[in-house]
Formats: sequence, C-alpha cells, structure tokens
Amino acid sequence: MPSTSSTPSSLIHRHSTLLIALLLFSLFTSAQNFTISGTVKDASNGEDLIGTLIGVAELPGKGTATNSYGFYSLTLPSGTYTIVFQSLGYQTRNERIELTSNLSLKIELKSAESELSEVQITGERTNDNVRKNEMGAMKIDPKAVESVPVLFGERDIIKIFQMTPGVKSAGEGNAGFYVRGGSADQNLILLDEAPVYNASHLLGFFSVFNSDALKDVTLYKGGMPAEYGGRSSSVMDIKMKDGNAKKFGAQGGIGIIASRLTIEAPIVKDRGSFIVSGRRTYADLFLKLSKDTITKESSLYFYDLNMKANYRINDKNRIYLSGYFGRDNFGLADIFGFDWGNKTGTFRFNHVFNERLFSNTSLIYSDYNYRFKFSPSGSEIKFSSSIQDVNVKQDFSFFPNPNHKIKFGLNAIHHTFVPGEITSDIASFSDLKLTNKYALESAVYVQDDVSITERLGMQCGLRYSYFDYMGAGTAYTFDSAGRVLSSQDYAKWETIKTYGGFEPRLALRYDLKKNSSVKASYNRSYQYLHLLSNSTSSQPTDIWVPSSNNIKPQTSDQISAGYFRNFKDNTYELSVESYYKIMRNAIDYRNGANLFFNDQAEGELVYGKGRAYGVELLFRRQTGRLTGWVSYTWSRSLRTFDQINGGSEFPSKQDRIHDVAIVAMYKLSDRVKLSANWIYYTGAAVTFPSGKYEIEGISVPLYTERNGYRMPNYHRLDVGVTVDAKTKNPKFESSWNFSAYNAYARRNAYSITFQQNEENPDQTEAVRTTLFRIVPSVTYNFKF
Amino acid sequence: MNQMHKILFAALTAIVLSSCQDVIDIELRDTDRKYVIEGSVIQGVDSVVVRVSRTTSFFDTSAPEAIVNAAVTLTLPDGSEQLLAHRANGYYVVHGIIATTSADYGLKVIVAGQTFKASSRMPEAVTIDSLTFRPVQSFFGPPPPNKFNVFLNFQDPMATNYYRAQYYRNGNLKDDLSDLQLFDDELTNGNYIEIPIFNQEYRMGDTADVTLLTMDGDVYTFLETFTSAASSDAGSPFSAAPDNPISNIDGGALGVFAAYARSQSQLVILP
Repeated sequence: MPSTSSTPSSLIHRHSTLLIALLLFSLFTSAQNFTISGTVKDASNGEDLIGTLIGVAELPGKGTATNSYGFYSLTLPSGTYTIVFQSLGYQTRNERIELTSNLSLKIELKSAESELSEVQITGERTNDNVRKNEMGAMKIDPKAVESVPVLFGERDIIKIFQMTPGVKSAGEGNAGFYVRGGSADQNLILLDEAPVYNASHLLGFFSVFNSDALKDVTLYKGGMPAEYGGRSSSVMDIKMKDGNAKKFGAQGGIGIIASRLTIEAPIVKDRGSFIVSGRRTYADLFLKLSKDTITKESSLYFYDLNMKANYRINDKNRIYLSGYFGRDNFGLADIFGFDWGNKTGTFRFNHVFNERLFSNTSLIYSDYNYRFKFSPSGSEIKFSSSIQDVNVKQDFSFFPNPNHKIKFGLNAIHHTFVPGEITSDIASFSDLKLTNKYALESAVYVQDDVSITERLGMQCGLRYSYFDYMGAGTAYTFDSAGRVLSSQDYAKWETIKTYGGFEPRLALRYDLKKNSSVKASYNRSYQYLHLLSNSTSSQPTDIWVPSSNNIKPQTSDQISAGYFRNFKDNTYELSVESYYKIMRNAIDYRNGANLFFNDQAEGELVYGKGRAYGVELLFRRQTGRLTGWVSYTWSRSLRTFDQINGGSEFPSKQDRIHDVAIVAMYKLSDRVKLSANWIYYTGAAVTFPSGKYEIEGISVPLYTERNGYRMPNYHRLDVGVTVDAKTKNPKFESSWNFSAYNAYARRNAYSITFQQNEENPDQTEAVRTTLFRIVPSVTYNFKF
Repeated sequence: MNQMHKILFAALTAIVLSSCQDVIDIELRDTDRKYVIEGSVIQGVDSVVVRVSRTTSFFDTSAPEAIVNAAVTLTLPDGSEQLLAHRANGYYVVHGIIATTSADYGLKVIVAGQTFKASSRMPEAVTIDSLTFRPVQSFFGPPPPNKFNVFLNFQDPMATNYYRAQYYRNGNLKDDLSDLQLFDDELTNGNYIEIPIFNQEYRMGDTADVTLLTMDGDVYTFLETFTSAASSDAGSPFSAAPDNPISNIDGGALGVFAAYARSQSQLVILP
C-alpha cells in the first residue's frame, strides 16, 4: 500500500493507475478466507435494519454494513472473532464466532432505552459521521423527529430536511426544496426506488410522504453514489417499512387537517409481512361551515395510501411488492373539477447467489397525471396530462473482503409523456391532442467503498448514462426568437436524438485523529428530464419533458471538501462542508412564454448556465435530555442566460445568502417532551419594478433586472409539547402533541406584488401577502 | 386556459389559507427614464393619435411625464408620410386618415436625438354576425333577475386570427385591465364562434355595442404580455418571473404601435 504521508488527493492523482491495480489485486488475493453473512433485523417487529455497522473487535477498522435489505457479508481469514453489531437506537450485540467455514448469522437487535431515541439521526452511529467515506449525505429516521413542531401538526420528513444545512424550502410552508443552489426539479425523489414526479399535495404545503409508512430517508447533496442518477442536484432515497413480521400492530393519529391509520402484520410469522398505511385530509369539512354557497359546495382533499408486502421464499430468495397511490381533489361544485396524483409500484426480487454476492431485481412503474374538468352551463371541457415510467433495474452487492464493498448494476426506464389532451362537447371547440413523447433512459454503474489504509478510505464509482429520445413524434427546430423553422416526423421507436455520458463519482476520507477527519468529493450528474413551469412556485400543472433535439441534458459538476469532528465522547458532532457546483444547460423561459398546451413549448425555452457555492455548518447533539442541532449555511446560487437580464449573471430564486435553523428537543420528564425550532434566512432574490408608465390609461411596472431585489428576511419560531397519555393497558400507547407554528406571529412575506391604489389610480403600492400568522395545532397519536 | 388555472389557484389559496394582505413600504431603485410610445390606426376612425411619455419612479403619484417636443410621423401603406401635430400633454394627432385593411402602417418618433420606429399590419376585419343575449347564469339557485350576458357570434376565417373585443353599455366603454378581452383561434380555427362577454352585465332596455378588433401577431403578443405585466398578480408565486411587455417598437422605447381592423355591432336588450 502507498504511504499515507501524501495528501489523499495528490496520492490518487499521481498513482491512480497503480492504485487501481493494487485494489484489483487485493480483491482477489485472499488465501484461507471464510465469509460470515446474513441479515440484521429489529427484534421487536422484524424490520430489516439498514446500515447496521458490523465490526470486528480483534481487527479495528475492518467491517461492513448492512445494505438496503438488511443483508451483510464479511470475509475474514480463519480465526476466532468477536463480531460487533451496532445501530443507533439499538443495543449493541457482540457475537463470538469461530470462523473455520462459511457462516450464516441472522441477528436481531433490541431497541435501546429511550434516552437515545429522542432525536436520532440514525445511521450516524458512534463516530460514524467522522469515519464514513461518503459526504454530503444526511440520513433521518422519521420516527426520531416525531416531536419536532411542524405546520398544522402534520409530520413531514421533507420539512425536517429543510432545517438541515444546504437544503432550503421552496417557500413558506412548502414541501418543495432546493439543494445546494439547484432547482426543485433537480432532486430525484425515490420511494422504494420509484421516482415520484410531483412530491407535494395541496399547492405544495404537504409532501406526499406519510411518515407512518416510512422506514428510512437519506438525502445525498453531493458525493452522490454511482448507483443513483437522473437528476443533477440531489437524490432523496425514501424506503418504506416492510411491515411487522412478528405480530399485528396498528398506529394512527388524528390531527386538525388529516387523520392517519397504519396496520401491519405478519403474513407468515418471521417469513413475510405487510403494511397498509393511509392518510386523508378533511379540510373540505370546514368548507361546509362556510356561508358562501360556492365554497360550501366545493371539495378539497388529498389522500395517500402506502402498501407493501414481503415474503421470504427461502434463505436465498425474497420478494417485495410495494405501492403508493395518492391524489389531490379539488372541485368547485359542478363547475370545476381538478385532480392530480402519483401512482407508483415496485416489485423486487432479492437473491443471494452466495455468501458474498447479493442481487436485487426491480420492476418499477410510476405515473403522475392531472385532469381538469370545466363545465359551464351544461357543456363540458376536459383536459388531461401525464407522465408514465416503466423501469427495470438490476443491482448487485459484492463483498470480496472487508476492505471493499462493491456495487454494480444496470437500469433502463421507458418514459411516456402525455403533454395534454382537450376534449369537449361544445360545438365551436375542436378536440385537440398534443403529440405524446417517448424516451428510453438507461445506465450502467459500478462503485466501490474501499478502505485503503486504516485512516484513508475512498468511495469511487462510475456511471454511464444514455438517453434516447424517440418517436413516434415530431421534432421541431426553432429560430433564435423561438419561431418554428422546420419540423420532421419520426416513426415509432425511431431515434430522434441521443445523449450519453460518463458520470464519475469520488469521495475520499482521511482520518486526522480518532475523532476527526477530512473528506473531499467530486461528482458529475446528468439530468435528462426537465420540468417546465409557468410560475415561480411549483404547481400540479407543471410539465415534464424529455431532452430533445432542442433541450440538452442538464449537467452538474460538484466539488466539495469538509471537516468532521466529534467532541466529548461523540456527544457533540461538528461538520463543516463547502462546495462549488457548476450547472450547464439550465432552463429558463422567454418573456410571455406559453407552456400550457403548446406542442412547440420547446421554442419558449432559453438555455444558460449556473453556479452555486457555499459553506455548511452543522453542530449536533444526539444524546441526553437536550438534543437537536444548529445548522448554518452561507451560500450563493447564480445563473447566466443570454436572453435574460441583458446576459449578465443574476441571482437565482434559490439564492438566499444566510440560512439558520435551530432545532431543540428537551425531555422534561418521562411523559413530557418540549421542542422548538427557530428558522432564519435572507429573503430570496426577486424581481421588483424600478419604475412605471401608462398604456391605455393603465399603469404598468417597469422591470429593469431579473431578481435584482430581495424579499424581506424571513424568521419564525415554532414550539411544541408532546405529552404521553396515561393508559391502563400497557400495550396501548398514546400521546398528545400541541404545537404552534410561527409562535411570535411574524408577518413573513409570502409574496410582494404591486398594484394601483383603488381610490387613486395615480398611486401605486406594494402589497405583502402573509400566509401564516400563528398556526396552533393539536394531534392525537396512538399505537398498539 | 391559463387564466382559468390562475383563477383556480387564487380560489384554492383563498379557501385553504388564512392569508392576509397589507400595504408595506418598500424601497425601489430609480433607473434611467425610458420613452413610452402608444399609437394606433383603427379601421374606420379618421384620426390617428400617438402618445409619447416617459417612465417615472414607481411610487411617483403625479401623472406620467408628457413628451411635448417629439417629431411623430405616420407612414401610410402607399409609402407617403403624415406628420402628427402635438395637441396637448404628449398626445400627437393627425386627421383625415382613411385606413385600408391588409396593409402595413409605419410609425417614426424622434425625440432628443433618438429615433424609434415601428410597423404594424392591419389584417382583414372579421365581421360580427350577430349579438345575442341570455340571462346571466347562476351556478347555484335561480338566475338573478334582469341581468343579461351578451354573446358575440362570428365565423372565424381559415387563417391565424388574433382578436380583441371591446364592449360598451349605453355608450360607456369598459376599459379596465380586466376588460381587455383577447382571444385567438388556436383551438377554434375556421369554426363558427360564440364569445361571451362576461365582464359586463346588461339590463333590459340597455344598448350593447361591441367592437371586434383584429390585429397582427406582434400586437397581440404585446397585449398579452402587457396584460400579465400590468396584472396585480405579476410577481406572485403563481406567475412567471415578471418582465416588461414585448414591444413592437425598435430603438428601445416601451409601448406599442397597433393597426386594428374593426367591425361593430349593436344590440338593444328587449324582451
């Protein structure tokens, strides 16, 4: 092995060929080695434990971790060892083994005492943030952040992520998010591997993810592993619970706007289980109280239904079936109907080829659609639009020896885009259908998590992605003003345009001391699908389009470096990460762009570039009576387009310079937990007028620069208290959660618009819209 | 359609959220003042009026600054030029113009050494076939008594057409921003079309006058982008990043020069 005295980056740079040769050599030179493999589960409910650290007491620095399915494999020379299984929130378990042949070891871990379980950002085991090769990753266990106060008391994992460094909410109360200066559509959101195309309900105030059904959520902001691809900014990997394999269980809650119920049970004890989790809002019940007839007759609700089942056929084979169905429904009596929602389905087949090779095959379907119905005076106009994916994925995990964890695989997605169809029974109206679009997106990847020396580690990977935009369809070319120059028709499956490229991913870790390390990473990602939006906020009617002869894939290159340090026996964690990101082929719109129901919408787009950089600081305490974190981000996000702002660089709407979040939870007694968040950020960059004039007697604002102004700075405090109810039945647990969002009732501006004064038309005024003053809420939760 | 989902989102927001609005003080920068030109040639109107003004700072409460010393020239389809005389307050006028359709008109404005030019094509007029009326529809309960909507009926020609409807009740023009009724024939090309005038309700005995203007694509684009720029919705999260209307004037001035073909019809609401 090369000397560790060189800096990690120069070492890789100068000796990369040698290093790769050494690595390959070390993979296959193992004399008398045997493998311990198996699964790690939660002893109470049989849920697979993801990311459980498996170490060897006699060989410090050697070890592995369970994969997404709870599977692990560790190959060691023959001998006697103490294998240590560690997972935050669980009691550590030591297994004494005599390794003289391959060994299968199924482990169940018992839940630790509740002192740890307040806020656990799990996966961050003792010293784990310092010792893991990956960086820019944040993992949150939905169960651990239950008591954090949120809007309307509706638990939302995405809103917790928005309080961590480098992640910004897309607006007041909004479930959309921006990662490191990227836009909301640059986040790949996977629910059991299925992409979710519109992850929010009700104008974005709630995410589609019902926390009761979720097991594990990880957000990759940078240093993205090669197994993920398809979006240029981040990946949010959400895994649903498998369901209780030991016994029947139920949990639920009743809140001010929604109720939830989850049921889980074994299919065959310890062999298979299922979970069904539902949530529905009842905001429309309040509409019935309204005096206004239209309001009274209206409907407004959403629901989510998560379902999952798994069955272990034998020790080598296991199948999973999971699905999500969610829909928003809005109706103004019989006049308007508008509904939208996602459907996803995942079938998975786990196969253990041998102790060291694990395989998963997935078949994934995902669909997003929205529909309008407008029925003026007895006639009817209908509109619909959708995107559908059929996705095949094959992944392998290979554990040749304790120094390597290798993953490789391939993936192909067939996309169908239905941009829009209008049908009507009104005579003067012609029925119209925009041309569907089709594309095939495929990728192969390989990645390795390597321990080079005890102090130097690396996660390296390479992904090659390929995109084929194909017929049947019509491709247009446009002049510089966006007018159609020519069009060409293509037959079914005929290639219109292809793109492809290598996406290298690399992360390095070097331990300075036992409790501190430095890390650096580089990654490139390609994004072949793009979300076109007529508005600055996200809406259900935003349209996904493929890369084409006009739209090039968006790419991003990111470098980052960080320092990680734990204090006081790992009670306190500190991390500082900085990044610089270059984005190419970013999309914006021509002035007056019409994206709705337009076959030539591509002519309305303009292309440019962007850059984003920043420093993120996280200080966190995970154990004790007082837990929580302080997050501070300093960042910029800038864009340049020839056609916008006279070609000068301007701040993007993601550009908020300072961003602070303080999340604190305090355990007052065994029954009472207090919690509070304080959020502060610089107002987002926004376009305001710098003058006015008159046309046809109507005052018109004069705009001189894009995003040349700032919204007022934003801050708010949320407080909450959770009280466990006393119950006679020890198996029945229940609690009350009371919270107040924006507790000091600050009038934060959701938008600032300008208008003529109603009395004096010569006077113009700035109007601030505030969404939420104090929002108190109460939720009752139960579990048995 | 666009308008439709804006309404929808506004409704949703209002219903769901306890949102509130207030007027605030905000500091806006001043920039170099720009010239603003608005002029139109209308079929059947014998005078052409052009207004020249300048932008003011946003919170200025005085009337727009009138530009009184501009040289304003109208170019007729035959190439001849007509000089417009300054009448008052930045309005320039020429009389005796007999506009012909399917013809191009030009405008040149010279002010303080800067030259601004524009041209606009007056298309064929589209004749209003008839005006009809029906009681105002109520979505709930019986129709309100003595309230009527007027409908504009015409045959759309087989070509791309851009329309603007203007409506009068007993001789009074409705001319607020929300009355700017624009439509094209993208979904209705070549059809017989009925267009409702929802923004004006009429009563028994009222006289309804409706003007149907047709114009070229550039003027239509201006009016569309003008509508969204002037809307109080501009800059809200439910609209695109605000921008200035797309002018058809070269040289850096704001505004529009429009040639409108025109047809008119009158209806007296009688039982």
